Amino acid sequence: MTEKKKKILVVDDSQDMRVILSMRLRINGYEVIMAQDGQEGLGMAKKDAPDLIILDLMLPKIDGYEVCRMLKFDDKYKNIPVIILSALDQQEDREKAVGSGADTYFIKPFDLELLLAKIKSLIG
Amino acid sequence: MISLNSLRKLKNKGGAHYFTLILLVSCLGIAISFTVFFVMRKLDKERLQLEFNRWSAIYAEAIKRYNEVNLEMLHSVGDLYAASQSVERNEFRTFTRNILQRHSDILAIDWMPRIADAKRKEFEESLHAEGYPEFQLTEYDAQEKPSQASQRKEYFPVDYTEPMELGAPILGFDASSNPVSWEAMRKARDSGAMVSTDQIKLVREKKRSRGFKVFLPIYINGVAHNTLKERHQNLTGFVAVLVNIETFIESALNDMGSVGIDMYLYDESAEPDKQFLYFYSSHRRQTNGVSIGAPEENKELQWIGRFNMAGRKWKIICVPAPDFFARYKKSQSWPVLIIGLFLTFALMRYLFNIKGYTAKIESLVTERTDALEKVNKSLKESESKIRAILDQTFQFIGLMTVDGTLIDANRAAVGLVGADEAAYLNKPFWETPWWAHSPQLQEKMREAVKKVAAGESVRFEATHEAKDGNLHYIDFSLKPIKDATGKVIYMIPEGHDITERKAMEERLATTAREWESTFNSITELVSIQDKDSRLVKVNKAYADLFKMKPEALIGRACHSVVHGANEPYLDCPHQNTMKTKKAERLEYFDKRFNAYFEVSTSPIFDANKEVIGTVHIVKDITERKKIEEKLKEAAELKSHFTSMVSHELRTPLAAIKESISIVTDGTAGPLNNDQKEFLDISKRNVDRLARLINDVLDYQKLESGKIEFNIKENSINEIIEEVASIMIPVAKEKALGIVLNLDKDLPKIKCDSDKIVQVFTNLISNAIKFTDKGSVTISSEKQDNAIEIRIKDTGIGIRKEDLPRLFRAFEQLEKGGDRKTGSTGLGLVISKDIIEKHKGKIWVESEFGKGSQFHILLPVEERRV
Repeated sequence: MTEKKKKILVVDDSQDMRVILSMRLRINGYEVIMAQDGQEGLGMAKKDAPDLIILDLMLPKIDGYEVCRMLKFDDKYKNIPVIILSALDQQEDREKAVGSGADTYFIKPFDLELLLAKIKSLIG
Repeated sequence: MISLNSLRKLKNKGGAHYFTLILLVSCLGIAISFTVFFVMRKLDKERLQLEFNRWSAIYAEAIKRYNEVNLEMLHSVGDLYAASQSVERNEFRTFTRNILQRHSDILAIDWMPRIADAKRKEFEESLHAEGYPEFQLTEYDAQEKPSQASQRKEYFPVDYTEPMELGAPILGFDASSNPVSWEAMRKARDSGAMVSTDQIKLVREKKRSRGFKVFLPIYINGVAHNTLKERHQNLTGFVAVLVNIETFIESALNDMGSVGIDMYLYDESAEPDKQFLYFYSSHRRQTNGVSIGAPEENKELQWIGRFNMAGRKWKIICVPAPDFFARYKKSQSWPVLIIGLFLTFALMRYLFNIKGYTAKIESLVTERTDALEKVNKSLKESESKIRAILDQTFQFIGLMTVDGTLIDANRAAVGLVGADEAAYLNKPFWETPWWAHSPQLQEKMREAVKKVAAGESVRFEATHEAKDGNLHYIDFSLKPIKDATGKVIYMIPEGHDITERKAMEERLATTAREWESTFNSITELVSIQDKDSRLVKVNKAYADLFKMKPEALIGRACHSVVHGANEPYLDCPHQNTMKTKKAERLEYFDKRFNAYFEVSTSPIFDANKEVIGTVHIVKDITERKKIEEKLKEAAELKSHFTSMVSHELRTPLAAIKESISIVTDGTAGPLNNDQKEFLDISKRNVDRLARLINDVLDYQKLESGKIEFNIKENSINEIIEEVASIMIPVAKEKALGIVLNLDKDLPKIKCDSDKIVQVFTNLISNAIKFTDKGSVTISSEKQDNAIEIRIKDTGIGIRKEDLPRLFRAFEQLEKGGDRKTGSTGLGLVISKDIIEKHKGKIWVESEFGKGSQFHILLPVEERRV
């Protein structure tokens, strides 16, 4: 594998979820960086140039919608795919997320296979 | 004129006899008129005939006479020869000139001696000697040119002819060479009398005219010539006259003057085509010459006369010319008829007028008599009517004298006391039974009588105690009747029972009081407003709110009282009710009172169903509003709570699920079988817990109506195919087939595709779950205005007794089986809810042990064209 590993930023305030996701993603060949709140996530998204972001919505400091919006309405970062992964299951939450520019939306608990398939379709 | 109606009227009035008389007179008049007319006509005709015949005869006679004169001339010339054997040429001339001068119709007179052939030469020479050197006997050749006469036994040459000026060329012409002349000459010779020729063309006349020549035979003087032989032997020659017919007739009739008779002259002795001689026109319509044919057929007026003219039969036909009628047909018959008829009609008219006038008078008398009878009758009737009315009315009426003695009372009044006449008649009014129950009333009546006797009228409320002891109220009045001088002569007591009215009034008053109390005890602010929002009535609560007396508010505009405004409130329901004629309501917050009010208005209609105002009710709903707001907050809180709970449950669940997965799939290191088995149990329960949470939340959302449907047009078949594609792998795990049996021609329907997917997923996964072998068949089919979807399995089926509770929340079937399949029991309830929200139906048919079939019916919206 000479090709450089794709970098995924996981922003989630749950330590457990961060661990589970990073493990799953690393096994599937991705480099994973993690942030535990919106502010940190936004900072890392801008600084570390991830290929894709998995973003929770209910985040301390800056919530997921806001993080998504700030990235997607910034020409520099708007091309980074954002997957929302949230336990919020209301239609309105989904619509709000899409309105913020998110590429797709997964509800927790999630189907791992589908998530991986989506990631693959977005960044290869 | 006399119309049919007037005739009928006469007849109807019994004037038939008179009518017949008039008819007879009229007929007689008409008959006489016509008789006179016809008689006069006949007389006219006869007179005309007579007149015509007379004039015709005169005409004929004139011609005959003139002819006779002419012939007499010839005779006299003949006598000249008969007297002496030889006549000198000069003598002849002198004699004949005289005649010719007097008779213009005679064109020429000739002497033709008989010359035997032997003496021809001698004769010719004698004339040469007389001074006619060229003289010779001539005849006309074939070209009618004179030429020397051929030799004959004897000749009759023209010896003397007068007037000579005209006759010179024919001197010597042998008359016997002309057949026409010879015919006449021969007859004359044989008969010894004058004979005329047929009509001949007059050669010597320039004018193309006709004439005839009359020959008179001359015999040797003194010798008998009685026999034919003697006449042949003794003939010495002929004297002849040539007559112009036209001149002849015109001269004959010259003195007659015009009476308007036309005359036709015929020679009946001639050949038929040569018979017509001359037409004499009273108007000179046409002169002689060309034949104008036979006279017009006029059988009524035609006169025919015949006479002998020098051996020929002449016929005269006279016909009237138009001016004959103008002259003689002056008829009086028509005027007579017209005058006669006019007089008859005038008489009829007069007779009718007389009859009409008589009839009019008669009917007038009858009418007047009838009217008088009617008046009498109606007077009687009205008398009894008035009595009847008086007796029928419920009004009590009586009649009393000036001193107060009652002399009459109507039935109603008597009926009130039920007494006999003696009890009330001829008694002072105040002592009558009506007022017996109350001495005070009796006294009042006495006073009243006194007042009315003085000319006043009184009216008051009296009472009367009825036989059953009930008190009756009577509206009593007493009025005077005055004579012309104003003196009171009678008094009329009158009254009617107002007991019921009084009771009604009392009831009304009670109702009004009740209503007033009700109105005022209503805690809402009630007012009645006219169409311009002015207060007509307000209740106590209304007045109290503004700390005013109700009376002070009446007449003020509602908006000025409530809002302190000059104009009505923008959304004022009163205004709306006035427009819509329906009840209206409005909620609003009033800053002045810091309160919410609900204003409701209802229309008040007049008899014509027009809105004349409203009932206006204001209710303080501040409390209710507060509660509503709290409820709304609570609902929002609940929704937020639910959403939070959902989130808070899912987050750890997700972590647990993924952690177990990582361990069980060996990512975190190998496991022994026991560890794997227990972790599988954990995983299964985590999954179940996740589903349960989903279902409970879904159900809760559906229950609260919070769920929103995203309705779009969708193809049901596509949805089925999508769900099937997801479910096929699941079915494969159990080696089950999924069979699709879809109707290709389904219309699209409006639905929320996510929700329908959820229903199908639920039903298909249930089917797979409860089926161990066989297949799951999904079919779609178009029904009337709906699509039916069937999901059929070959599984365990459902017991009959379980069917009713299948779609109820948390009703679990076969607890053991459920545990095995991990169903929450909410799926069908949610499905049913979703389908019903789509106005569809869901039901199930099942036979335990054989399988189940779920039916879904989704309506197709009618497409509007």
